[in-house]
Amino acid sequence: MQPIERVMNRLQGKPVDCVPYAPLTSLYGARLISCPLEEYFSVPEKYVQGQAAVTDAFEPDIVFTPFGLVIEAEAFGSKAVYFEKNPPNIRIPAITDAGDIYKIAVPDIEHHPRLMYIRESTRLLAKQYRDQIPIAAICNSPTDLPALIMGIENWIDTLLFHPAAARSLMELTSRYFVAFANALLADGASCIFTPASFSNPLIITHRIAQNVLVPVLRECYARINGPIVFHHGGARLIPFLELLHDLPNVAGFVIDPRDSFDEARGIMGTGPAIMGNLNGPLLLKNSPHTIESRCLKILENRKADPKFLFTTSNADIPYDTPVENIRIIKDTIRTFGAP
Amino acid sequence: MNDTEYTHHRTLLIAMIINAERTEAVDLICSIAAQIGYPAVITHVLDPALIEIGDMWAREKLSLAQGYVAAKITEDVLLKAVDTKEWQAETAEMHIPVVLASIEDDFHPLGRKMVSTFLQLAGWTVHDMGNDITAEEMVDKAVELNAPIIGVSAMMYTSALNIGKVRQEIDRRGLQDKLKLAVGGAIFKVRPTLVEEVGGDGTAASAIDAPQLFSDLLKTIRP
Repeated sequence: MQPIERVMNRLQGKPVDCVPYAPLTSLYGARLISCPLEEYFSVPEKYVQGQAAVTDAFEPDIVFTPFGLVIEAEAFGSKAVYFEKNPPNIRIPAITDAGDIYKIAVPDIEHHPRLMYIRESTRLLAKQYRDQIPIAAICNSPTDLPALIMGIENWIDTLLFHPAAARSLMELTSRYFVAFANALLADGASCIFTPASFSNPLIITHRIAQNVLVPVLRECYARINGPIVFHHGGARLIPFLELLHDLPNVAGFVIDPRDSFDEARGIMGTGPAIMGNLNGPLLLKNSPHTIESRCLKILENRKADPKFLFTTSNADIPYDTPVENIRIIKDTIRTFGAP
Repeated sequence: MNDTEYTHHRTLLIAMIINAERTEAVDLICSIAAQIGYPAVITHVLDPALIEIGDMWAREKLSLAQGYVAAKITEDVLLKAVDTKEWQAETAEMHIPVVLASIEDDFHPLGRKMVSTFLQLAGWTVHDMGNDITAEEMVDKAVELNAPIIGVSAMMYTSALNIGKVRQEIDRRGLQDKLKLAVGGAIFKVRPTLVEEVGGDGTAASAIDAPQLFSDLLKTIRP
């Protein structure tokens, strides 16, 4: 069974030969081809070469476009810093004051070089894999992107104390999100994969999540021309899944390693797929034996769930993770076989 | 003012923090301070309210944003208190210097700034070095200031591992008995064993709990 058939069947609850699996290995491709990260996250051909190395080494059932959330923020004017082995980060946000939101403009998704890097990487991945492996295009949530444009502290402050400014900024990020996500789908992506931390009541207040942020997601997601995978964004999903489980066009949720699959399934019902929840960043330090045990525990837990896909949760798998620590995931899943 | 009145004000204040009513909370504290002075209102109302908020936050009953509101209220109150004679008299003997920084490769200042606010409320003199600071820079600053504690924060797992370099630098200079390493940040809540992994001397469940951690660490310093 080809990965595309495996994933599509699974999303529809149909039989598969084994559970589809997707380790988050966007960054890891750079290690496999020994490419400096700044070049890897700037030259589409290098990124695709890295992902080709990932597919050769680990045979994943999903390929990811660049997981460099700051790249989109760069298009809004934020300055990024690139590291030798860690994902890029924001060094200087585009603005630092809610009063400066008027200085922010929606970047041109057809011409801005940083966005063209993501789009060209998507097109090249689609050209190479689309008929065999689904391509998940990673895209900032319209409610999270402001944190990369003005800094986490300023975004929290704006949401709490300057609601009109928060709405103005999200009007821009919503317009951008819908246009960019649809452009990525038109470029060949199979779905939009979007981490969303700022609709989580562990980050923001429940009142703001419910009344301000989730409605923005609902409105934006309804205008996306393809399926969306909602990623937990590093925070537990269960406490706010009730707010999100019926968001339009969401085909699946990636849950936190601390979340319970059973509890999540109980809240979301049988509709969306459930994904997770091996802790990706911890693969760096865990032994293959420990990883195998955790994989088996997850597989056992979900063996009766026809809409479960095995993914790593949290951020990208770290650069220095031993190859065998990722390979053991594939071996364990393939050996486990048909659920 | 009696205990019943203090309890009533604390309950009000906690509700205001939870509802993100910053202005109302600061007004409440200032109105009580007008009657009993800032040191007393901080001791009997703000501090105990923060302990309750910190406890709820540590148990994930509150959001990061509500912790942020608590920090901003504390910051607003401190700004008003520092100019008063009774506050200056109360805190004259405190002011032990400590160094705070986000570790090399980390650019997330929010938690560190909140820790700084709560430490200042408890009377520590905070030297905040900012983001992306190397181990050598931190230990140099602590030695220069004769600070007994360095507080280092990191948000992500991979950058948190760089805190191990601070441990190594402290040990390399033979300062382990005189200079303690407090560690914190979102990742330490997700992975508690990370404190030991990076060689931290302790961590706190939330920014509000940082003053207690620093006090505990200070007691372990050997002259």
